[in-house]
Amino acid sequence: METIRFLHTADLHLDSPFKGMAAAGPDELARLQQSTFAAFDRFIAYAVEQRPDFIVIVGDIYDGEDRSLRAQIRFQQAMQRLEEAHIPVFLSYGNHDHLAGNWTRVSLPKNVHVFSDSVEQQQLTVRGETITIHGFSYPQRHVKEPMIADYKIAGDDGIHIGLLHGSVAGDSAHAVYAPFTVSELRQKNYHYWALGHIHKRQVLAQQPPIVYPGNIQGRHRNEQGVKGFYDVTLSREQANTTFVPTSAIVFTALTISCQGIEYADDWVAACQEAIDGVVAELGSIIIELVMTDTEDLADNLQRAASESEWLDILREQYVMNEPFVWITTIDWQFSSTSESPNTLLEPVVDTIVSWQLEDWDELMSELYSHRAGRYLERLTLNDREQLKQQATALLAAEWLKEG
Amino acid sequence: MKIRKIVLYGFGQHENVEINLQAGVNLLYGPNEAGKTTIQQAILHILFGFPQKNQQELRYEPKTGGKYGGCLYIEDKEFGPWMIERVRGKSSGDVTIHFEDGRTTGEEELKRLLRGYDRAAFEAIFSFSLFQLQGLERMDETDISRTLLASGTTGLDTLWKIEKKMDKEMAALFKKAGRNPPMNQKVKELKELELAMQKEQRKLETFELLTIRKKQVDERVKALRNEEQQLHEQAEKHQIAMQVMPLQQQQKQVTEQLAALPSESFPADGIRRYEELASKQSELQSKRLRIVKEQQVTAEAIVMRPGNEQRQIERWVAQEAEWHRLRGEILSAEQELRVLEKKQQQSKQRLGLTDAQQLAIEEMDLSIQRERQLEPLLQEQTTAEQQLQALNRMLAEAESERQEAEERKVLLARQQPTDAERQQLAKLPEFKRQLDEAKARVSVAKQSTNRAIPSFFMILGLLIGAYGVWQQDWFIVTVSLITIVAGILLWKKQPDSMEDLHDFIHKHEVHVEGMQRLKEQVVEHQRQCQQLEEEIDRLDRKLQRLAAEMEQVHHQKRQAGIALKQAVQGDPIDSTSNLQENFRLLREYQDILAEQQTWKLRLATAKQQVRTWVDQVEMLLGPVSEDTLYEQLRQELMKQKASKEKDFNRKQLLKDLESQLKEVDTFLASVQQQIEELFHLTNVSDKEQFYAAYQNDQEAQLLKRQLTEVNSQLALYSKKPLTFDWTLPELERKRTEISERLQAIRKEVTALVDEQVKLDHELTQMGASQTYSELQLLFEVKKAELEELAKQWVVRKAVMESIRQTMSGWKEHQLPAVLSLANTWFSRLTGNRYRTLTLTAEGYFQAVTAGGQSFMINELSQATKEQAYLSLRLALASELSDRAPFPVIMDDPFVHFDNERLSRMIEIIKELKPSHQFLYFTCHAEMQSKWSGEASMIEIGKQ
Repeated sequence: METIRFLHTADLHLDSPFKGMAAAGPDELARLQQSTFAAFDRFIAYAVEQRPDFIVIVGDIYDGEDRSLRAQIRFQQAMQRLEEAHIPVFLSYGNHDHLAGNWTRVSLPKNVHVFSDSVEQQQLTVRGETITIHGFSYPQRHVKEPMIADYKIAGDDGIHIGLLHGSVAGDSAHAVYAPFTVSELRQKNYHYWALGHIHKRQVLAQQPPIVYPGNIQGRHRNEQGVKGFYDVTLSREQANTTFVPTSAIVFTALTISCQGIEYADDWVAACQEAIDGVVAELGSIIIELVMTDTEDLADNLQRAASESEWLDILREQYVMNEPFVWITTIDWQFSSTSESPNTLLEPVVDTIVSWQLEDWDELMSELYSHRAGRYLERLTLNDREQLKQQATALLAAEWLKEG
Repeated sequence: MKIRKIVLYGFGQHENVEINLQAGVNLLYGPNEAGKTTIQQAILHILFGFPQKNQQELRYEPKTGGKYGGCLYIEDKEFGPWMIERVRGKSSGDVTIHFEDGRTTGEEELKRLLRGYDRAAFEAIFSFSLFQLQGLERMDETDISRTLLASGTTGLDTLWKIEKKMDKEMAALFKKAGRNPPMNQKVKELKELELAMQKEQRKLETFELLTIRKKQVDERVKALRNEEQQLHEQAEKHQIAMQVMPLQQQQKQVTEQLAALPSESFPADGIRRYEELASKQSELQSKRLRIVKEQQVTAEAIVMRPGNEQRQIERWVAQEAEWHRLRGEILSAEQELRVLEKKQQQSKQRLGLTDAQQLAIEEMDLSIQRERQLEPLLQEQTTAEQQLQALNRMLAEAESERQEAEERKVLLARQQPTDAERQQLAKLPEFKRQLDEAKARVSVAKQSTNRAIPSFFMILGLLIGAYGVWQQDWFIVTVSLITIVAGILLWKKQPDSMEDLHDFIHKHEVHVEGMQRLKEQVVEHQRQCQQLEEEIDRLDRKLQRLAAEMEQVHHQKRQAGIALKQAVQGDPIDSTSNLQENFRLLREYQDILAEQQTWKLRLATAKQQVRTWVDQVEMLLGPVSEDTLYEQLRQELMKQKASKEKDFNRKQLLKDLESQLKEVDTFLASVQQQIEELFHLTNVSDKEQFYAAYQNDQEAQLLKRQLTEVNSQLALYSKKPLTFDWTLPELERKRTEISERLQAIRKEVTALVDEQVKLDHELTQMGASQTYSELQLLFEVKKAELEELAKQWVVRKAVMESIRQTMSGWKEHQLPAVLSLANTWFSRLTGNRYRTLTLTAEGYFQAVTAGGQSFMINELSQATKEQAYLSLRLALASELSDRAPFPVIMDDPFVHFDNERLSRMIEIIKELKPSHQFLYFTCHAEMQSKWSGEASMIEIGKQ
């Protein structure tokens, strides 16, 4: 029995813009702009160095359906390199770079095999072992119906690998794309399921491996942690997956206790120490800070400057830093042990707390109805909680200030 | 919350006052000036602080200057019993709160205990006097709502403030139609970015078009290049054809021409051979002609003299010397004769002879003897002449000397002194004497002569005159005049002799000197005259002596002349002048004549001989000149000899020519034969034909060479023969077509290549362009920033909205409750005269009667107005009992009430007793009876 080796990646989202990078300057932006390419370059460099038998890319190579031309050119160049290294590439397009998109087609070299808009098989032979790869590309943006039914059940001939860009049925966190269940996949008797679409790396099952490699580079605060791809060694009997990190910049969060810290400079030092620790571990980072145990610090900080100023002060410590460090937010967890219960304030706070999602939307309606609404995302549950907290805190603060 | 006890340390007129209060209604009675208001104020002061010193309100500091302040003991359901003490301290006083458990706190805790109420808010609801009941008519819904909602608590205002602030902050963040707020700006930026992105995208969309175009261009270029290649090949073929086809044509033409020519052979160098022979032939022929001609010439015989003549001539030639001698003799004789003639002439001239004399001379005696006779005579005459000449010279000399002396004498006579001079000289001694005299006088006069005296007289006179004029004394004036006159006279009288004398001496001294010089000159003159006289005498004597001598010599000379004349009387010429010479010349002359005679004879003889000779020769040769006779003779002889030789030669030549002619004839025959052979060889009969044959042959040779040439050229292009289907014009046309096409292709290719480069560049640029992703990223950043701002905005909105909602909740739920309670009480108080208190559409209160009539508050009677207001206040207090369970403090508000309404009022208060403590201050004693035991009585100033 022959063992084959291939690389499994998905969701490259090349040239994807980073979301939520408010207040970032041109230097930071330039850095971020390069990061998806940097991650991709790492992937390609790894491939060229390691010479796997082939590579599978399961959708969302490009971020927008317009497929950034630069991204296409870079991708084409990378494929060229693989071609020169004699590494075949099997790829399918996903919901982000579906075939109906209005994009310029850059011709890819011959080693690249693209799946068409309906499920099909492609074969190759590695050291005598026939490998059949099943997959399809998204014909348009939305493929809500399950495609799994169209995948052929594997016979006894060689190794079968399934490429599927979609989400597990019933997962409400993500929009439904080509839904499937693990058991459905298992029924196909493939030796490996190379999934795409979900950016969070996860292994849904071990026998056979059903794997989301996640994206290769996080692009916003919800894509935290080290990103990369899988280096898979596979035989009919056995599978072995190794995660290879690629992310050039890692999104992460850090909770810092301010216990015993009274003065601003101590606070800055403490933060720096904590951040440096993370940097040592992860390299370049985009980090959210959460401050806890702020009782001792609160008065000092509150009095000296506003929260945004503290953020600026901390950011300044990392200007032009290498590795790259960008602090997105500082969340101050002030304990709401505010004064005595206020007879007057309480009903107001109660009002805020009582609001439902619709009420918040109502509050936003003025913005939504304005042309600004086009650029605003709908509030999430999380947002609502956050807003609630912020509103309460603001009320309390203002009360204190005015009273 | 209830006040259990009031303790005043010092407050206004109260000092160390302690008032115990009940939970229900407390009636505090006191007449005017008992201190009721003071106590009321004390409560408010202690709870809410002493008024600032600059405020209108009284501070009630004790005039005695004792302890200021007091304390309240308070029962509180929520916080338990507590005590508040306020004493003098900072301007609002120092406050201390004591709890039952011993805990003490300060202001902050107080705020909480007072539920956030301040004095104004407290007073608005819980503390009122009659005066404060006024003004209900001025209240509108908002005021009442406000009052109602928190009854003017500080907190409420704060909330209002917060709400306003939030509104402001929101507006600062975002305005619907705004432009400047950050969110609006962000939106604008986003919009711009979006546009920029769209633009960029559209630009990038051209990528595919450009790619397609590039492919097309590439293909087109390739196709064109191919075509170009083919055309080039074709053009090359045509090029070859262009070169080969004329060659082929030439080849064909030459071959045809060659075929047309007769193919007879022509000897290799036939023409040369022929021409050689022909030239030889003509040469020989001309030679022969010459020989024949010569023969004819030579055949003529030569004329010669007969032998005897020839011999005579030879003889004459042999006698040539003799002839020359004769000729020479004639010449020399003639010469000699000419010389002699000349000599004769010379002598004749020298002697000055006439022709007659000439003949005579030939007879003249010129012997030496005669010469000797004449010579002494001549000598004598000559000597006398010489002496005469010498004497003449001496005589002239003496005479000129005497002339000279005579002239000097005249000169001297002119220098003789004049008579005047002589007279002056005579006066000289007189002058001398006068002079000496004068000199003597001068020396004397020098010692005297002074002018002081006359001067004195004149001054004196003036003085006296002046005095006289002054004294009017005419006498004295007269005296003075006299004195002056005397002075003047004295002055005048003074001699000028001194000056005269000096002049005199000077003049006469010069004069005397001149006189002396004149005297000396006269003496010298006299001496010279004397000398000259002596000289003249001496010269006269010498002249006399010389004259005598001359007389004598003259005589001698005359005698010698006579002797000579006698001696030469017979001679034709006078030879006496120079005797010897004359004789010699005459002798020579005689010699010349003799010689002439001799030579004339010799000449005649020689001439005779020559004439004879010439005549003989002329007989033979014809007339000849005497001079060239022998030359002719010699020529004649030579001629004869030459003729003889020539004749010999001629005969010889004839013989030679004969043999030559024979030889030439032989050659000619041979040449003719050779020519014949040549013609036979070429198969022609004459020269013209032979040459035509040669021409043909030459042409054929040329054509053959051309053919070879063409063939070799053709061989260069291809081994096998090439065949073409085109004609030359066709070919030309095709070539033009191809070149035009090629040009067009080149042009197109150039344009396309340019486009290729441009496309490549554009594509590369687009491929590398970050602009779009940069814009995208920037867009996301801006979006995030907008979201951030939106969140801030929403948070503010939430705060504002929550406040509004809470407030409107109060307003909407609590206001109606208060109103309905107030209505009930108002209705009760007025004995159902008025049914309700309602709010007008404008938000003002109005009272509605049971009959449905509406009255604005200010239309009501004073008491009714107060009742309306009390109803409202109490309703408020009642409604707020949970949040603000404060005691109600009233300062005689019921005074205008009639008994009926008062008792109804008391009823209502009784109802409120459980939830509120009441402190009722009054100065009306009858009030006690009205309350009838419902209230605990406290008399102020009676403790």
